[in-house]
Amino acid sequence: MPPPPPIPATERKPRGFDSGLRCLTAVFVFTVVVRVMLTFVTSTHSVPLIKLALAGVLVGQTALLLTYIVWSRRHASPCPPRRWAIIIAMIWVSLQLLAYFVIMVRSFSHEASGSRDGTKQEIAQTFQKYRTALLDADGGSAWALLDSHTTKFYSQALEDALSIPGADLKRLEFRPQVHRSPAPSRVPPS
Amino acid sequence: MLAVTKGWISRSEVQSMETLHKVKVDGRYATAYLPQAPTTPVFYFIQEGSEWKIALWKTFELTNAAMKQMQRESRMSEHAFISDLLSRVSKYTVDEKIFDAPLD
Repeated sequence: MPPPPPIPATERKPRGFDSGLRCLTAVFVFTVVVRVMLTFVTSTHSVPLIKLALAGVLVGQTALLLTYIVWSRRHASPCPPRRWAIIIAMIWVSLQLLAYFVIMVRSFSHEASGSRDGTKQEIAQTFQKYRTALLDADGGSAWALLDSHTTKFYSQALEDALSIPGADLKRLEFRPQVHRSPAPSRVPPS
Repeated sequence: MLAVTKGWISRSEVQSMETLHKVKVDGRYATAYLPQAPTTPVFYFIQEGSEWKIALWKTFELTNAAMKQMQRESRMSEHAFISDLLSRVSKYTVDEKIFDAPLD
């Protein structure tokens, strides 16, 4: 069997600024842009930082996907992109993606725990105000700290206490019966 | 408001509730525990607008059960127990005639 004919030597054209280098440049520009934007976001746990990190994650994912598409379509072509440029671009963008993801998650958890702590403080303050109002016998202040459902209930209870027929009162459950019993202030002192 | 202003709320009870032990927040709702009862939520809060308000109505079921228990232990009838309770709180003599409401 005769040996296969030798493959004719073809001169390789210079690749110039090929798609591999273009991907690498795009990742570099992306890094610089995000780095510059980060300087405007000073707080370590703020909504702008979360937004920026989210944008970083989204753009990073897109860059990673595009780099992969470029490689898969062109690596078998007569003029393939530089392999080293593609590999560096993919590693670089993957690390960036990871970094922005970590920033986003950490900022979000800081933000969430910060707001939870603030909420708990507000609740504790409401409780302390209510306690103080009760100790000072300041009915107006205590009333202002009750929710609308409770105030509606008490208003109705007072109205009933002054007008409810005895038969209806007896039919009520235990506590509503206490609330709707004619106000003791109206019972003559013994 | 009337009960607070008239001093019908037990001062010693209020004084014993110095601080909240634990607060659990779930969106617009929150439950709070006292150090003396760390496993039973005693206060409920609800966010109305930007403010947190006390939702006392949510504790009515709990206090209702506690009152029923007290009434059973006192061996008094329900009406006698309520009259006695109102008498002690208001410092007026309240008898079972109040259940023939309304008063004139």
